[in-house]
Amino acid sequence: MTTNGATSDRQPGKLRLGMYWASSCGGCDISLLEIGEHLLELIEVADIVLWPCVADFKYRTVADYPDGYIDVCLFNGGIRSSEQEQIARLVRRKSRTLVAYGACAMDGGIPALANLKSTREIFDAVYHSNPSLQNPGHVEPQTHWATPQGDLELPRLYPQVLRLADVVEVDYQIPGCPPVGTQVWKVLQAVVAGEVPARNAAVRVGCDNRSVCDECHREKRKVRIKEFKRPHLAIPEPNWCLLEQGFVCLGASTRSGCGALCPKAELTCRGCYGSAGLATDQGTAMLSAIGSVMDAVTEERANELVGQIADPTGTFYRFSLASSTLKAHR
Amino acid sequence: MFDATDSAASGSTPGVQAPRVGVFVCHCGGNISDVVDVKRVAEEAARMPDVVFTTTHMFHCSDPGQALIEQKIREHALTRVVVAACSPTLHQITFRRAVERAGLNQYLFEHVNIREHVSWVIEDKEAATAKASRLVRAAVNRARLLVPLDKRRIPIHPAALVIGGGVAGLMAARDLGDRGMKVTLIENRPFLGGRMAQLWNVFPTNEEARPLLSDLVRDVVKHPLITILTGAHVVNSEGVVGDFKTKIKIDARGVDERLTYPGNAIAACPEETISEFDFALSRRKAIYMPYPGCFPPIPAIDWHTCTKCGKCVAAVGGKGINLDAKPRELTLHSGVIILATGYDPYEPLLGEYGYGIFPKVITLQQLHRMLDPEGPTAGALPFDSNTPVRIGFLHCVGARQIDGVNAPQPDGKVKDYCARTCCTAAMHAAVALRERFPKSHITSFYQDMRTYGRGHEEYYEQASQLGVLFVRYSPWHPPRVDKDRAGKWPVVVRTNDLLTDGLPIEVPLDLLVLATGVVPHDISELVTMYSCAVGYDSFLLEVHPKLRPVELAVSGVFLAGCCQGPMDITEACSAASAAASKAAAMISQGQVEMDPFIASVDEEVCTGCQTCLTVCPYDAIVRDEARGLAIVSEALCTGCGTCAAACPSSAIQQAGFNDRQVRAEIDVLLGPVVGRGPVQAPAEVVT
Repeated sequence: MTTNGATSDRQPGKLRLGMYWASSCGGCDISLLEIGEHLLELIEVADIVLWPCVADFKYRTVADYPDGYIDVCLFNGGIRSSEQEQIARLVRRKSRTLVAYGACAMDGGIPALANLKSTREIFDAVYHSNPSLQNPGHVEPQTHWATPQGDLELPRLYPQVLRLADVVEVDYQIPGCPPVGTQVWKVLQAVVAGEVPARNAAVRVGCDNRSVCDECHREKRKVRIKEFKRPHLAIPEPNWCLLEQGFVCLGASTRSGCGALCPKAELTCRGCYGSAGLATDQGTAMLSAIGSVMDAVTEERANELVGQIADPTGTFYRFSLASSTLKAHR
Repeated sequence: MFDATDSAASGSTPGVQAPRVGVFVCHCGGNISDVVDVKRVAEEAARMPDVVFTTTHMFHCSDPGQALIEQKIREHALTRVVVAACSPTLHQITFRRAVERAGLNQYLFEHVNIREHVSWVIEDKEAATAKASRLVRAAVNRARLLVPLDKRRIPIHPAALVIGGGVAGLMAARDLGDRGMKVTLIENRPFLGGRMAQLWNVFPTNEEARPLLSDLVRDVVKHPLITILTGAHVVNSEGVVGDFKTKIKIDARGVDERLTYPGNAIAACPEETISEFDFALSRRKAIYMPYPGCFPPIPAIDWHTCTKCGKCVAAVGGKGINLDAKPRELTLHSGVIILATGYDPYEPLLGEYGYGIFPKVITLQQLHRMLDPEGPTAGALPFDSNTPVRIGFLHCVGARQIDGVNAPQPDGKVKDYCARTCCTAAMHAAVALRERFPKSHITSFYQDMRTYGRGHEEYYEQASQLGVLFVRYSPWHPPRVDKDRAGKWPVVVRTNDLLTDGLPIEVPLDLLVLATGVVPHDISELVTMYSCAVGYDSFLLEVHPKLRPVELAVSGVFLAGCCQGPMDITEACSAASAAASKAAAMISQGQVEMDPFIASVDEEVCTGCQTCLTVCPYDAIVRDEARGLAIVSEALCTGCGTCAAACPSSAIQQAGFNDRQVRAEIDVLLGPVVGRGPVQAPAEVVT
């Protein structure tokens, strides 16, 4: 299923599909393959006109497309560099429908956790203080570099990870790290059939309305949290709510649609589907909920309990820091 | 698969006008404008999206100031109004009404406090202006998302429940009855009268307490609209203002009106116990009446002491006593509730100023029982009126204590508040003793003489003239009460007298009276039931001491008397009348209007995780088991917002304070980022 993306190759009436990656790990691209044999059905009705992960596309190729040429572009990854913003703007122009695909494009994702650090601190860690590193020349990335062949201009790293919606107008969001295949296939089917909801940056597709608890089999016993435990230090009791057992499970504040994959595998939900329901800030929503159900009457006890949560920001905002009120270190 | 909730939340809601915000910044006659550059605040607000008009005014709360707001709403077709002025507790309602007069829904108004929160607490003009500006811009951002709301109206069941049959409860019941309201008065002891019945004589009129009380009891008992239930305990309370359903348990009295000669039954009873009415100065039988003339005028049986031997029944020929009587339960329906649960005199700790160790150390309450002609000693003190008896009064026992100096109470705290009534009460008693025992020597050991009330200072004057000796001690070095080593005197008080430059003084005494403080009667169950606010001193807390003095934060529940703090009888009666009048006013309205800021559950989003059920302090949320959802009872919800904050999926939203509105405000407060990206962001985008 390869295509060189040239206009002349397009079969009449076929949908033009694009997938682009920015500040992401590649998992989203692989998640598209998760639709399995449906890929064959997909290429029956759609042409892939942009997918750098699997085929060679030059910037020129895309720039030469007429505006609105791509019917639907799935954009994964957040915006961390000037290049990514530039391509985001380009792809936006070329796409009739732009979808923020996956947690990073939608909420910043894991890379956005670096928003807690300044660019300087990140450079220090990556290029200097990292114990597994040998960089005797203390070389750092530069935006300009003169070579005998000519001056090089390289993209600039932004001080924080932005969401796709922070730089261009987004039509839909598909949550997940990565989105689960069944949901992706459902969305693609709907797109093919033309049964999509009205465009709205805030509309999430490929998920359900409620929270992961709705899909989780574990029972609530209405007990208050007595102790917080890290997952590798205790074995959870099956069929009992992980949060009530003291494991920081974000299921209650995370959008449903994944089928509660993690809690079913005895793991806490890490929150990759983003805020649940009407919440605008997933981490804050979960923090308030946890604060309300801790077994702590005194401030001392509350401090003791909260102190048991390792890396609170990384836990509660693991995928959504760029969407949160916190947004970034200042 | 597709999610419509977000689009509903962020799209325009039908019936809601597009935001056209007007911002009005008040000078407060210099209170604000002396520190805050109000003009700059208005200018900066004008740069916010959707702001179409801004101005400042010397006094926005004044008639012309309000008229200006109304005029500009009409002139500029404003659909949202922000007023930056004083505290909303002062003028929020003023401005809401102005907005309403101009034809806008009053909840399309946002109040910003830039006086108490800014100009009164920040000296630096630049910093104050910056803060005021940011608060105003945050309010504007929130106001843009406000939607019209309607007040809630709840009908009121035209009946009142008064809890507590002491003087305050009796007074409140009588006042309500006299206004034509149906009242049920419940008292958990078997007899009415409360603490006042235990007093012998009261200031500032020098009247005997019980005849005074009897007049009031008679009025209440004879009142056709008042039902009295004694031995009644509140078991459970449901409902809200207008519709309280209070479940009570009524102890079996064991005795009814057919008992014509109670004396015979009491005499026949072989079981005795300590009399709580006489503060352990006497003993009483298991079937007892605390004093002649008590109400109800029939004895009660103390089931803890009674052995059901049947001798009382035999003594009266079986008429009027039933030893197998059972308690019963009853549900009372009322529109309002008055709490008049009263106080307990502070019980000194064992050994505190010699109490419980030296028999001649007694409390002021015990002295009153002794002076009472109907009391355990028939009004006699163990002294001859001709002996030069030496009596001491020690003030501030269990009051105005200092942490680290006085021993902590069982709850770990010290009683650090002034009990207010004991100085006058001690002076009143000192004068009475001085008159009864002309040869007596009376010494008053005090910290500060707080005879604050009308007609109270006269007791201090009188005591001074009658030769009462005053010794002022430092609260950091309270007096020590010891035995006399020579064995001549029952007790000796040693202290340093601040009036003589701290010279050590040793006063031998025949009797030491501890003027003890006032602690609230233990009503922890009621506190939980009605979600009462409780002060640091454990007394119930009114909404505001000046503006809403006898109201609890829970609508429809009022406070009368000492449950709210130490009061003398005069004050307790005033408070009771105030509570009764507020309660009657509420009932007369026929319905109550309440702010519409209540929580509601989005059934499309709720997963039934039950977090909200755990946190709701008013039990206003129940779980619909069939659908696995949380349901908020509108009538019970007070709009505290706890559930909305706790809901992990924000399926619960509070009207007037939904997530988007609050977030809009926070986004500006935490700036510089405004909104959530270009789609909603009105101004800057960070790169």
